[in-house]
Amino acid sequence: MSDTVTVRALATLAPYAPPGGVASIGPGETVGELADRLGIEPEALGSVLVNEAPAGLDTVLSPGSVVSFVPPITGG
Amino acid sequence: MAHDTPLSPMPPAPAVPADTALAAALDAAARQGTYPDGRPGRFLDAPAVAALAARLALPPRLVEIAALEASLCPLRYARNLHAFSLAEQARLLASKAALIGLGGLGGGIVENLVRAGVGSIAAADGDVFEESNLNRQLLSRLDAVGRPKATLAAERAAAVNPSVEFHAQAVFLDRAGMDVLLSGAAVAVDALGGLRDRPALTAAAAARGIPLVTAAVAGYTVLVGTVLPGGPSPADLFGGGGSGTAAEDVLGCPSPAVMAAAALQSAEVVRLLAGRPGALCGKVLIADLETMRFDTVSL
Repeated sequence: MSDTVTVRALATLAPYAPPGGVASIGPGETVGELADRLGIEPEALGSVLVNEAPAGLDTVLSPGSVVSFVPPITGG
Repeated sequence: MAHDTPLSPMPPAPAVPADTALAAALDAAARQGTYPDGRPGRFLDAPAVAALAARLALPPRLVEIAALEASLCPLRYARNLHAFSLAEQARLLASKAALIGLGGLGGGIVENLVRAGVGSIAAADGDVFEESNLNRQLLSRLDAVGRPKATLAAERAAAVNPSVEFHAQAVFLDRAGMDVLLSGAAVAVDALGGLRDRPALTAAAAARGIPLVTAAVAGYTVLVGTVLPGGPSPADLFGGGGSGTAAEDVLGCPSPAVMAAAALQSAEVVRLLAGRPGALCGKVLIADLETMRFDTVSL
């Protein structure tokens, strides 16, 4: 059994969510590496949250974390 | 912590003539009734408020404040209670909000603040309604295409609650104009779309020392937060810095998401104007209406 994280991909990034919203991660894998594996281009990202706190592409993921990928959102 | 930061003091309620004539007139005009929970109460209906305002040459807003201070509830606010006490309702009527933008977010916010009895609202939007606004903008109508959003907002406010002193300018405000609009306001409300004007509004609210309640929508994703002076803004985190494609340009802004954002902003604005602590200060609420998941993140 590999370690996993929950992935929430919002708005335009929804199609990049893994099946069931769960992705396996390797040891020391970062947010940026996970985004790359899911096919999310860095320029498509407005922000990333890990466990409901702002995070960066270099944030190292831990098993059981919840990762939210959010595109730029400015509409009204 | 940022969200525990006390807000600047509210301006005092405007002076209401505390003469016995007003007290006697209010007492005579009040009618016995019951609140929704069955408690007995004394109420003042809208025709009575209008008649007293005309007879005493007072703004209806001040008649309502005087009534509330005498424990008489203007009938239109009976179902605001217990969400707000009589004293908080009076405080709402004595308060001023400044609102920038009268489109999707702004239209919903006008509707909520006017019905809540926010006594003074200064608003601005230089735009006119277009057919493409009809999917989501509450103040837009087919027969109003081409008319100024500010005009429709003023008409709506007067039709729903004439006690609200509603002033809307049909102009796109620059920073200097925002500074003037925010004068005397206890809360600023960001109902702008896009990133262009938001930094100026954030700076204007900070200069006034008042909180800014902001929101953004793309598709069924909604962001709402309250920026305290000098504090972090959701736009800093979620705006993308102006680079990349904004999600709303791909997904649009459907009505349920825009209305939800406006309602969430309005709840926060009314809470602040009533003198309560904000629930979203230094935070952002992320609501995904696609999955019906709501999360609150500290910035």
